[in-house]
Amino acid sequence: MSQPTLTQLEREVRLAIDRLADAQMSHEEFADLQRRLISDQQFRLVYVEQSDMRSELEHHLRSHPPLAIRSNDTSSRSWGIPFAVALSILMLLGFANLYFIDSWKTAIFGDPMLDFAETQLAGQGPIAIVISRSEEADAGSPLQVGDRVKPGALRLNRGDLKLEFLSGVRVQLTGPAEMHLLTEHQATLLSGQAGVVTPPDSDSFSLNGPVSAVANGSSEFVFRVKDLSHGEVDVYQGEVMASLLGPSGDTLLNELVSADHFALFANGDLSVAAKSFDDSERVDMVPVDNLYLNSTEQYAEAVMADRPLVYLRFEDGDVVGDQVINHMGDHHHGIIHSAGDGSIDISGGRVRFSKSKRGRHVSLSEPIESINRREFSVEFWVRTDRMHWGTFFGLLPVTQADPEKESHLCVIEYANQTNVVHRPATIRMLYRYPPTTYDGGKNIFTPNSCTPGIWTHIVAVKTSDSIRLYCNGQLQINLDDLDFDDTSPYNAVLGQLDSVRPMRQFEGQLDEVAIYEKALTEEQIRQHYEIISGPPKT
Amino acid sequence: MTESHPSHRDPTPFVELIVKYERPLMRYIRSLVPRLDDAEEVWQATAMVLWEKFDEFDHQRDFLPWAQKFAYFESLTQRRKIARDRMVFSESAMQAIAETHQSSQEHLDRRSRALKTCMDSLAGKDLTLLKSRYDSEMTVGELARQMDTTAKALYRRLDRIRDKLSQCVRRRVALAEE
Repeated sequence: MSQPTLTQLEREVRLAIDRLADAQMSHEEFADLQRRLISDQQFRLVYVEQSDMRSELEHHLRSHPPLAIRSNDTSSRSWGIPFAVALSILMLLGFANLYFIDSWKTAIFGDPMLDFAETQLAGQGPIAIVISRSEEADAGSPLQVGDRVKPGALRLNRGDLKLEFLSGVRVQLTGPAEMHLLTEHQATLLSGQAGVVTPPDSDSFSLNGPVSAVANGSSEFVFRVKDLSHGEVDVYQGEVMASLLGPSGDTLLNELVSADHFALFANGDLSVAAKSFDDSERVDMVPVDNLYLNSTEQYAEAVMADRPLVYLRFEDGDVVGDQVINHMGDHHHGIIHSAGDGSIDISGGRVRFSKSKRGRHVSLSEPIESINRREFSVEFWVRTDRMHWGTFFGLLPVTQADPEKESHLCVIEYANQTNVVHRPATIRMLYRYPPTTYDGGKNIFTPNSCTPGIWTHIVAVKTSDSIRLYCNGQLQINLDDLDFDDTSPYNAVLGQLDSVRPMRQFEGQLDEVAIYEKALTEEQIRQHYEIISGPPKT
Repeated sequence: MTESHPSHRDPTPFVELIVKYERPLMRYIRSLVPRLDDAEEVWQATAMVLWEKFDEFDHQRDFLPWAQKFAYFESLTQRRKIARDRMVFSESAMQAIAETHQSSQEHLDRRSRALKTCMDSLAGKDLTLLKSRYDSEMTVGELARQMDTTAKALYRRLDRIRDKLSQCVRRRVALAEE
């Protein structure tokens, strides 16, 4: 019999490796394979070559990263900077796929607070934002406050993590827990506890587990999953539909669980009973802000040293009737246009806007002349209540073609699911000249997010050759020739799109609003920001 | 003198080395332990032992042979754990494979580099078929059922592609080794 060619030998070896890996080899075949591996040097070399090739093909052709997360049992330790460095190296070298499967890294670097494996679907945008976490994150660790989150698998090893979905629903996950984030309206809780608060105007939100909990409208509930056949839903407020699903995913049995009731799912049965809850059990959904705008005298001195035209501080004693005093002189005071329903509240040194069915805003007592002639800047601090589309500030021509539908020179707003494409929880600056149309304009969106519940510093600057937007000191710029000889007067409006329509109402707080007839420099802006936030961490 | 606990050391030098040699080390393990899940167990156990022993590593010497020594012992340990459930190579077979692998390291590294280039020259449909095989936990038989064909027909198609790759790799390595 003639000797097999090298190609034939390679085929033979590949078949053997395939059958061995697929557990389809007979004992006789295996004995023959071993015999040849020990006694035939050429066969052994071909085996090693083909085994290597298989391993490399798997490495190159497998999808990364895997969505499944393996659980670890190592003790709790915090991540260090070395891990961040190491992880960065791994990421740079394309070994991110190992991150979720390698328990050895956990043994070496300690157990992280959480792991997150994001789905790798082209075109899939973020569905939520991280609004708070109980442990401060090291640089490079996943899911830091303000991070935008795409669908994926999340394992929380300890502590609390709060997310706000684009639908406005807030979820507080308490570790140890595992949750799959599916869409802005849907998630699956595999284990642990999730508190959910749905706002009044939200569409339905489904939290799947052993039973599926669907909330419509305003509600607050806590879902606990013990295992695949045990779970419970405590409803504090509103109503939640608890549905037991069949293998097809369709509902077999459903029960409406109203406030002060709980649903218990155990071994295939679903029961609902009344329960009184202590307030201490409720989910605290207000993020803890680490910035305090209380000691702002030094800040105010810095702002006033830069000579704004208008500086509204909303301090106690600043409100006289419907006027808010301008700290820069006896002109351009703020004027409160109330809806009479408490949707504008000035107290505690800031102005709070809530949603109203009627128009409500703060404007200025007189227009600003020629502000668009050369350069201007608008600076303020904002703390949004939730992710929504709301206008913080607008500059509008005094003369309007349609008094029922005012047009803008400049709009600064909180952009979520608007009519243009951008990431969620971003700040938008729109500049449009001439300001007589409603057709587009120049836009900038901040790369970093404005996290609900967290005070954020915003500065919008218009120069003769650019519009610039700073969010917590980070600059985004759009260059163009903007040198116009525009001496028109402009009105300023705070809290909604314009002075007429109750549209894009901002929900949250504004403070330290300053309007300058010049471009603030990067250094001035950084100095203002760092007075409140402190110097950047190195 | 206090002994530095592994978790208190700076892991960066270790991680740099393990990242650099992760693929060759995994290929070595796969040749001894052909099933992927078993090999991953060995890899993880090896990585932990390497970290524990990293203080003893002589940085003047090559990392890979040092790491392969521990991977070999971890493969033997894994062999003892799984021998009852599935077919595993005898110690003498593993020893022969390990020696061949180590003595052919440079040649295997060249093959590995050539493979990447050869993959880039594959037709899109061939790459898709290979991906369906290697990006799945399914056996060829299960995959064939899903693709509405026979295991034999699918295997033949797959092996024709692997033939192409093998020949391409061999040609490229021969050129490099001339």
